[in-house]
Amino acid sequence: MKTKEEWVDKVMGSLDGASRAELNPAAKEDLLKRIQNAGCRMRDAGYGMQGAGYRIDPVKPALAWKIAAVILLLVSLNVFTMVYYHKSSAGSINPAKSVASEYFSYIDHYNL
Amino acid sequence: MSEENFILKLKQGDQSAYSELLLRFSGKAYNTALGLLQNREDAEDIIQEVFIEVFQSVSGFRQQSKLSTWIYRITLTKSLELIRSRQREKRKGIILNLFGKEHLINVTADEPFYHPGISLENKEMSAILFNAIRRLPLNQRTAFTMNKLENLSYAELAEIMGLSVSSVESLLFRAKQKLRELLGDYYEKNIR
Repeated sequence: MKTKEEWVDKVMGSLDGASRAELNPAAKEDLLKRIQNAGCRMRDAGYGMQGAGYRIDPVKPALAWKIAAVILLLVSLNVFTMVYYHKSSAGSINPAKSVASEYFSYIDHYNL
Repeated sequence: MSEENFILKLKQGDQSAYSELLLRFSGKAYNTALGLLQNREDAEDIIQEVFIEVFQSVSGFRQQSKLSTWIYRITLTKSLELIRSRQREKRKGIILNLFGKEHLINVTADEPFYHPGISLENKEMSAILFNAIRRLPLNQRTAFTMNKLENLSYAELAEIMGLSVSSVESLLFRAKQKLRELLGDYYEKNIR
């Protein structure tokens, strides 16, 4: 009677000597036709080379989502900053004056 | 024909070179995809994508690696993408189940996989092993499957997977350890 270890060893060795699975001939033929057709389309579209060559890689969805998220974050930050600034300067009589006084506050610091 | 001349013919779009490409490499790619995906239809679909990708990208192939390494890498990438998308579907299924939306789930149970290249006497045991392989982390699964089914050396695996040889050794060691553990559990539950 096999022990557990013997059984596990036998299962672990069950792939030894396995021969390679081959793609069925019909699938291979179909694939070759697809490649040949793709080559013809590229020629007809005027890409110049006989078969392989030019293509425009579309942006991968994951990357597109990341870019969209970054843009959304930047826009949100801008909106938040504008709203926050608008609220904080809402009490002042002249918002432009308050911006100017803050911007040129270094002049006071250096006694210019 | 040397590999450089062969690649040049592929870049020039030589149709006979593409036939030769399929003859030389479709078996390697298919066997790899089949071992990883454990499903014939999926493997055939992936091989279509692999060789279309090869056809479209060969002009940019800089020959920094062998052609076989490059084709293995594309096969691996596409196979792993499919596995990950299936895993996401399964997780979605579990969440839908929690909310009582089982009718929206389209996940089939794991069926036993019988590799066509395995001898008859080993078919049942190999199906048990493939089932255990499915439970390995993807990198261990990749290393173990390609090492066993494609007889790739540690150095070749390292080049294909973009890892060091010592990392591949470590992956294989851990894969074998984990498999023995899983098979031991299976033995306790089903055989003993």
